[in-house]
Amino acid sequence: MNPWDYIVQAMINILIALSHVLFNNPGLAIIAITIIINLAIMPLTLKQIKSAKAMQDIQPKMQELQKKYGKDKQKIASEQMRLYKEAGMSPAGCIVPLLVQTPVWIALYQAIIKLLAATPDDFLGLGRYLYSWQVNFTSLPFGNHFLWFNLAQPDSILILPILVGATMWVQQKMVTPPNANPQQQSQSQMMLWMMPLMFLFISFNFAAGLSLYWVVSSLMRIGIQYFVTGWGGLIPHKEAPGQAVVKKTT
Amino acid sequence: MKFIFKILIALSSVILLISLLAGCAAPAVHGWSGVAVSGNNLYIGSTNGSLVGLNATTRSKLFNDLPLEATATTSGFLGCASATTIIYTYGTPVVSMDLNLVFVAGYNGRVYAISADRGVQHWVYPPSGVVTKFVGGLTLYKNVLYIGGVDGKVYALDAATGTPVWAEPFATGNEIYATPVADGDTLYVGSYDKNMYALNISDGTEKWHFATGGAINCAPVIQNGVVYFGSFDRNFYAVNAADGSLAWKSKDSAGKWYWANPVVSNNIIYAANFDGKVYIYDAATGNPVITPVDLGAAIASTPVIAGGKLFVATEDGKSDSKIWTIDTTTYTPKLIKDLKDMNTSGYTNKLVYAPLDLGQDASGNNILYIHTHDNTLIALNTDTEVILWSQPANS
Repeated sequence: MNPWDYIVQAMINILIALSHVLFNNPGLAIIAITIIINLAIMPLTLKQIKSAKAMQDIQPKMQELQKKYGKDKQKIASEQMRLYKEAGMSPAGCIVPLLVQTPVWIALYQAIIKLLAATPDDFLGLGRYLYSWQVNFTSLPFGNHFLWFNLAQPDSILILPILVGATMWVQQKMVTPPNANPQQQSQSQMMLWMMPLMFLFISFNFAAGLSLYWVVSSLMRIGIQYFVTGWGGLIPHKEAPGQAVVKKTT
Repeated sequence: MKFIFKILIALSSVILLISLLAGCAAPAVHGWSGVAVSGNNLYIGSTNGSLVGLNATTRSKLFNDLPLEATATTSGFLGCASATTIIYTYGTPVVSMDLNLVFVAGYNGRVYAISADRGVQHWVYPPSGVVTKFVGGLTLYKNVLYIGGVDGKVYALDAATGTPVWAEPFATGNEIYATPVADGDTLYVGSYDKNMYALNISDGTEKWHFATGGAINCAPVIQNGVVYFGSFDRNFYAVNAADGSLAWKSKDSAGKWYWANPVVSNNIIYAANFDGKVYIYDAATGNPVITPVDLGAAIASTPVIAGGKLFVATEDGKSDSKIWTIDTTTYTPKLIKDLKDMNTSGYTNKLVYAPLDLGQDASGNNILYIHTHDNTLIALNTDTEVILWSQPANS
């Protein structure tokens, strides 16, 4: 097996062990491993959230820089780096955690798909991924049913895909600040809807087990985000950053 | 901010592309039908969803390859290649020379009876709709077909007409991948509910069941009133056929699950395990005859014995298999063929999941038939251990 297979193998065996502990329930096992993985990468998640918040907080100062230095891009860039340094963040602060999390998502996805074994050939192929733990051999075949859906098939009632999109939208909304700049506002709106819709669309076609992972992961992320930044953009604000409030005087 | 925005767009595009590519990937191969040998005729459930009949001597077709169902083509997702519905076969066909019929069960949930010489469909069960997915093979016994389904039920059908023989199928607690075995007035079948069942063959009612710690995938071997089988719990069992009581259980667990059927010869049990070892037991006592013979790679295909040798196929990586012999006197293993040496353009998956099957040529020589996962059919002389011929099953 190649190195990637060893990672997938570890996740498969952990899923089986968790299912055995959790009343032989495969859905609970997926929820549990999602919680475990999210807790394990929480330092990265917190860093990402704080980085994003710091980025939002310095936006007014960034706009001042644009006004002050106009087309002097070099000066703007150096002043931006100074602002980042003062705020204790780096431009890649939002991206690095995402780049670390993405392989984890992919590995967990592959582990779920292999374990749920849509065909007999897939089930037979699972044998090469099993550790010599007795629980692996007494627990298989891994059950596919959880609540109303088959974990190995797309959710035909579409509740899970909708939950995937909705939780992802709430997550995005919480981190999307109101913005006076029309161009940035437009970009924010695009990001707010693009990612949730894309994942909702993907969820229509992917196994429900993966959608379950996404929903739980999003809910955890919403919880962490709330404790760090509160409801953020989910609660309507009276004014956007940088927007002066003009009071009518009589 | 613009930099981050662009990165996020790029990442989203990659994720979307991966999702789309997953839908455009070439369909995987499925099915592991063995070769049914009837006189000089060979019948195989091909991996492209058809029943193939061959003359073993001339290798000419007995009839045009018969698709089990009219194939339906569905349009692809967002312009990807269209998909064709293929009826996979996991169980080996069975032949009734009395009725001149070949029987095959499809993963689509239907059992087909086809004339052995002309390839014409005689009956199909159920006549309309489907019952359940079939992975286990058919057993033909006294003109009745027995098969277990993914719904966990055991079905009995009249071989001549395809009508159910029992008032209702016998229900176990989980899927059935194993092929039932008939002996006397009893039908034995293992289930993924971890039980080996003995049923009254006349009406499908239960005589007894024996519980193990894991799912049962293999067909048992019955000899001298004892039922021999391996379980996913890594143990090998001998159970008294009369009452389902335990005769003996392997003292040491194997490394992985027992997937392939056991083989018995001269009161010696050969139990091939997914850990790559063949466990050899004294049939009467369960004592190991020798240290397990380690062939180094997983064994999923059921072995056969011919000419004092046990022929075994092991997985070699993700797309190849090796053929071994184990001398049944000295228990010495010998590698006789690495099937990847036979790869040709378009045929590069020589995994052997299907059971190995034996036949005889016109001179009485034992011929081993191997059906690989890329639908190649191989014939090997068991005495000389030389490959006689190989060809795509559908050529």
